[in-house]
Amino acid sequence: MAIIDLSQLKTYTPALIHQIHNSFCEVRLLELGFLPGKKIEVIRKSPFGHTFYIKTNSGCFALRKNEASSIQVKCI
Amino acid sequence: MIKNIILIGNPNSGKSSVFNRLTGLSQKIGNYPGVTVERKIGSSSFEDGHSRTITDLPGCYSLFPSTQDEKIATKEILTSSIESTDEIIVYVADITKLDKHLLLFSQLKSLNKNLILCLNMLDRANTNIDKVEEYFAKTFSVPTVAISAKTGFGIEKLKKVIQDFNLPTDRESKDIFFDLNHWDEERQETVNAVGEKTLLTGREYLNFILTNHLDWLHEISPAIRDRINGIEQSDFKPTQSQIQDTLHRYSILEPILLQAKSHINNHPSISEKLDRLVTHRIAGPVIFLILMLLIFQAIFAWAQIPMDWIDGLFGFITEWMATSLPQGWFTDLLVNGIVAGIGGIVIFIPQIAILFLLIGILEETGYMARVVFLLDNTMQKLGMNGRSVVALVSGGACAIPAIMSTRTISNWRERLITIMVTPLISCSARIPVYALLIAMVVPYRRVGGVFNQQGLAFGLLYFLGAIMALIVAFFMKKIMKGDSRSFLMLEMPEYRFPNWKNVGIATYNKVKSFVFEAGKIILIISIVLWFLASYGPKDSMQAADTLTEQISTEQELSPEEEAQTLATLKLEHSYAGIMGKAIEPIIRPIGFDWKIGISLITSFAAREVFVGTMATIYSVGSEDHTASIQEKMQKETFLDTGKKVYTKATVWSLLVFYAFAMQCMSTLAIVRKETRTWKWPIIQFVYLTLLAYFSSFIVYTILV
Repeated sequence: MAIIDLSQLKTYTPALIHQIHNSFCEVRLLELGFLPGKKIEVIRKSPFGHTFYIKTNSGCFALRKNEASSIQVKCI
Repeated sequence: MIKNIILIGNPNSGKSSVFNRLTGLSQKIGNYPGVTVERKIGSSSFEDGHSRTITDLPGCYSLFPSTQDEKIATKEILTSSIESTDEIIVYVADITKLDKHLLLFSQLKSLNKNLILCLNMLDRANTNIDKVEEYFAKTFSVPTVAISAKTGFGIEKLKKVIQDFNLPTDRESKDIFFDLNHWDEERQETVNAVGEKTLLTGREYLNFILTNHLDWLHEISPAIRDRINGIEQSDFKPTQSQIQDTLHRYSILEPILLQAKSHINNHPSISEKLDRLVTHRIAGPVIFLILMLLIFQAIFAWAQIPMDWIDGLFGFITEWMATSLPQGWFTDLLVNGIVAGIGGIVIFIPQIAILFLLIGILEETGYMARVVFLLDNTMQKLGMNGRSVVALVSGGACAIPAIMSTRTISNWRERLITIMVTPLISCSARIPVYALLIAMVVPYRRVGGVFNQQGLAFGLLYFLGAIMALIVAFFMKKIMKGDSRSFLMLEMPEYRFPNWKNVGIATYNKVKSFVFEAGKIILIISIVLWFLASYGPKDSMQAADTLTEQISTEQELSPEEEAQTLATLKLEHSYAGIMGKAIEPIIRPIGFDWKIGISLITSFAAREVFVGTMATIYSVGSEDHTASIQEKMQKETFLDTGKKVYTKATVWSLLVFYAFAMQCMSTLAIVRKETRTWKWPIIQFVYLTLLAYFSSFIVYTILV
């Protein structure tokens, strides 16, 4: 099981959240339901991969590349 | 009996719908002291005959705030805890999203608040209502009500529960979410120290939260702040403790929720499928553009009819008063000052209402969040944030709520740039100015079957404003130093059919505040103007009389023509005329005469005053009450040269001036409030005025 950044994940490929390694946005991401072990999926990337449309158990979110790459995911 | 009810919940929990259900139209929208976060308070009457006050706090995710809205909510919550005020908190949660909506609930529970758990959005899930209510009531020992604010189901029951709320006898019941003993010694010491200093001993979670907010705690209470100031926090890591607290709460909530979920079956969501189209890289922007075009077409198609009624009504009233009331200064003030002024306010209502309604619908449906996703990249290149789009689009209605909406942008530079360029978006106050002027130079002719030329001219002006906003933003980004902490973590709410009650009440409140807030200024200015245009220095006014007599005998004018000349000359010699003439040398290069000069002076207070001023000037300057301002303006010639004043060059120059100039005292006041310094409104005023002047100069020079 490879661990990669969420920003590197292909669209429509479910993965599991491993950990968040950016303390600046970690609290907010946790509050939004980005919890270790939860399923996560990239639905869409904006042109040039700047903004990410993310789906988790707790809903859909728009994240920038910076936030997305702070989330490490385990490929299933 | 507890009379204060507070609504708290995550963003998108349907809190506002619950608030609207409870209070209806008995709402007061104000601001929190010192900030422009909306404070919504309403009252609701209950079966027991008493009425209770309902406060709707801004939505927030937790007690660790990251936006201004959340800081306000957190501050209110903590302040009431410190002062131990009695109130009932109705915690609104989306029943389909309990995973994250119960986090803040658990924090409030740890603060020992008087809680009622209100599970909203029953319409989105098949729920075994009795089982769920019973389960949560038992697990958290709080009264629980499942409702649907959309359909109104359960609202009466919620009111009954509020009415029957009993203060728990064991206020310090065991906290299942927080235990100070689980924390390291250092943290325990700090928390206890805060408790001792603030005299809030034993209230561990409150003290724990306070240790996390030392950096902005002064907003809570200076007394408490002073007491805590002395506490040394060695190796303090607020983020770490917040993460630890949050994770611990989730670990307790998870098994609880797992059991509850067997009673809740969420309806399948259409959002994801719809978003494949709406957020598509090509289809998305196209849909956005079409929607914006539709909004503008709708404003013109729909608003025109009621506006014609209002116009006709005021024409009728004016004429009736002029003919049936005795002649004199008072009738003159009533007709040309007050009624003209009120007419100038009321005529706006249809357009403002439609704009707020449509923007309200876009927000209600959840579409605005998608716009943010689509345009964040572009906006970032221009130094702004995806959320700026909401402000810029709202700016099409009014810059004031638009600037207020920027408080959801947490990055200061992005927020400031958005505030600075928002007034360039053509707001509804410009519509009457545009309408009046465009009708003078652009024929009403259809192009390509769908649009007409006047509509296209409107479109061009809106486009001009929007493009200029982006250009200015780009330059501001180059000039201003940025701080690096910019982020976007935006929840995409489920698409939903707009709740007409929500949209209706919001529109009603906004129109009401426009009529009474902006209306006051406009009315006062109208009266002042009437005075300035009717009176002047004595000898100057006498000169007008003599001059009229002279012209009359020379050119053998009919009595009617003589009266006309006298009125015009009187205006020219009035205080207003003198002021207009004083600035004429400055505005002549851009094609304006002194009458336009008067309007420029008065509409620096609010641009919609332009039409009113024109109405006042031309009704003071003429005995003919029935002709419209437009007809009168078109006839207007320079007294000396006899050439028409309103040529194509002058009108377009004027249009461009109004598209760019900062002519709104209320906007400047809001910018001062939002930026907390006079520096930014002054810079904004100066740059927009210069921009308007030089753009008009270019347009006039090319066209003349």
